[in-house]
Amino acid sequence: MASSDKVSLAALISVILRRKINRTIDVVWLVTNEIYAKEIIHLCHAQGLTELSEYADHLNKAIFGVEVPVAPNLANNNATQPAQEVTEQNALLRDSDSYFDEIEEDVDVSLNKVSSNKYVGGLR
Amino acid sequence: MRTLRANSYVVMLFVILCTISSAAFSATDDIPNESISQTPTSEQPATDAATDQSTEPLKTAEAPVILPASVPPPAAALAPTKPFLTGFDTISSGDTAWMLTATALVLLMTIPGLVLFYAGMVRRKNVLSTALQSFAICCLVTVIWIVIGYSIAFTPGDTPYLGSFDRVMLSGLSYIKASSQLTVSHLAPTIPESVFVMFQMTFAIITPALIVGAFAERMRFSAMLLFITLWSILVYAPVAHWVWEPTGFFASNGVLDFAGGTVVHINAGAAGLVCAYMLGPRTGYGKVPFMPYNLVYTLTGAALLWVGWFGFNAGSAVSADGRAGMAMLVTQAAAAMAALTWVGIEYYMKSRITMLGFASGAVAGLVAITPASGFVNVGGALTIGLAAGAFCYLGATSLKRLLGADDALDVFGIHGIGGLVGAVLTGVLADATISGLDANVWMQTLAAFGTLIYSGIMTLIILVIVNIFIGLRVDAEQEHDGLDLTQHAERVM
Repeated sequence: MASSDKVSLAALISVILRRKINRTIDVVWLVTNEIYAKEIIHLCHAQGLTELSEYADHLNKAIFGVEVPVAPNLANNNATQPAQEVTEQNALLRDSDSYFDEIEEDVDVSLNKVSSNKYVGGLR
Repeated sequence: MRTLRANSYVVMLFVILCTISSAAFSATDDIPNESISQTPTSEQPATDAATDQSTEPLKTAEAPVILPASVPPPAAALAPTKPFLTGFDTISSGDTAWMLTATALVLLMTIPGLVLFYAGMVRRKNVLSTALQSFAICCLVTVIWIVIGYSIAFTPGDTPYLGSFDRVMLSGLSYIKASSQLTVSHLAPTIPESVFVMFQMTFAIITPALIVGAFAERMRFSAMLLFITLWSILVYAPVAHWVWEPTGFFASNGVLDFAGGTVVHINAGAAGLVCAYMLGPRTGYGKVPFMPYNLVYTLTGAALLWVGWFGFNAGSAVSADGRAGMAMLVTQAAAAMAALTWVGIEYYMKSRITMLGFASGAVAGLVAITPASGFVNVGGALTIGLAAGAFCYLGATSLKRLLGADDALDVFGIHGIGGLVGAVLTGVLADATISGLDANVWMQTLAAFGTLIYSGIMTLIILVIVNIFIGLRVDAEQEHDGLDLTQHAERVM
């Protein structure tokens, strides 16, 4: 499956999760990091929503090629990995949840330093 | 549920278009010689020989410039008043080559010019949807123009308000290699009608695409498609008929609009303002900063618009001649002057010169010179540029705040105001030595505001209808997530 298709699936999952359980996920990280993907797919199945589960199944197949069992939690997956790698990945996972939002906030903060009124109520 | 209903309306619309097109095709197939009846020869006395019809119009219908009805030229009695069949030998290869180029340039203004211009100014979460809207309009209006738009805009009708249905599905448009004949428009007798149809189609595409800027970041995609379909048929085509078809209401009263200041810019500006009112402001408008995604896109888009505008204005001469050259020169002069004026005011007011200011000023100048480009000299162009830079700056800032509408990308402030400035100043600054015509500033003003009112009222009616059947605006949650994800399941990385 093409990368763009994976992103589309991830985007659909992102929207549903945000609406249904107010959970924000990182779309880019979801299609690039397998551990994160397994966790999110597991999360999707745990909600008991048919549509969400279907999307999760599609994403599972798209990323892993075949139907693979999803680990119940991240800790189990990380058990076989070196401690250093696990620490780094967990840090990334924590950071990735609101990756885009944080970027926007950073930009907004920078903007406010330049001009607090810029782009409020109009572009020009 | 609502999405399902919206989708069903889009499907219904598509089915209706297909039905009309198939009916028209079958009608054309049944009567293969129908196109021949479009020639004046078949409808006029025998003294009007076909050869006369093919040569006389060259003197009288050089450009889509409207001759005042009160003083018809001597040859007007013999000039064709509708598209007609003529020989290959009457076609000018120079004019045709230029018009093919101009058509491509005008299309370049929408895709990718306007796509980039608008996409760069919206927030990241709405970039794709905004870009896609212009692209989708290009496809949609192309079909509408072929099915019905061209016919009701550029053929004479029973009334001065609407053209006929003779060219529905372009029936009658012919290219007959065996007899070395083809049809030409009475407005452009030196180029094939197919080229004229294409050239005017690009105008029909860019006009509704301009409106996208007013309802950016909050309109349902399906509602947008239905709105643009109805607007193109009920607003754009009739106004084009009034202004550009010689028997049209404004044209027959001597209104001058060389390349579309009234038809394109005032029309789109008024529609944009009504859209902004009807959809309401974006969530957080006036309270939080709406960060533009990438202003380099906007400047690139503005540059493409500028280059494409040479096809828009110089192409409206419908010939490769000195008047087209003058149109190109004054277009460049007005755009540059307006850009400098805009940033000059910006520097005076805010002590900064911005990239967006330069881009906006240039577009404002291009808009304002559009109706005047075939009528004014260089001095007039600089004056129009100066006025456009000043008035459009006020339109996009002070007037915008005064009106209170969230016209997201300043469609009314730049296109509406710029179009009004250009239309009125055409009446003041038209140089009779260039066009041979004297303008009437009162008629210019009347036509400009008449179009503004008609476009505004019709847009309001169409939006009410679309709102009843589909719903205009996405819900708050979708708006928060962005139209890219919620409408198209895609996202800019």
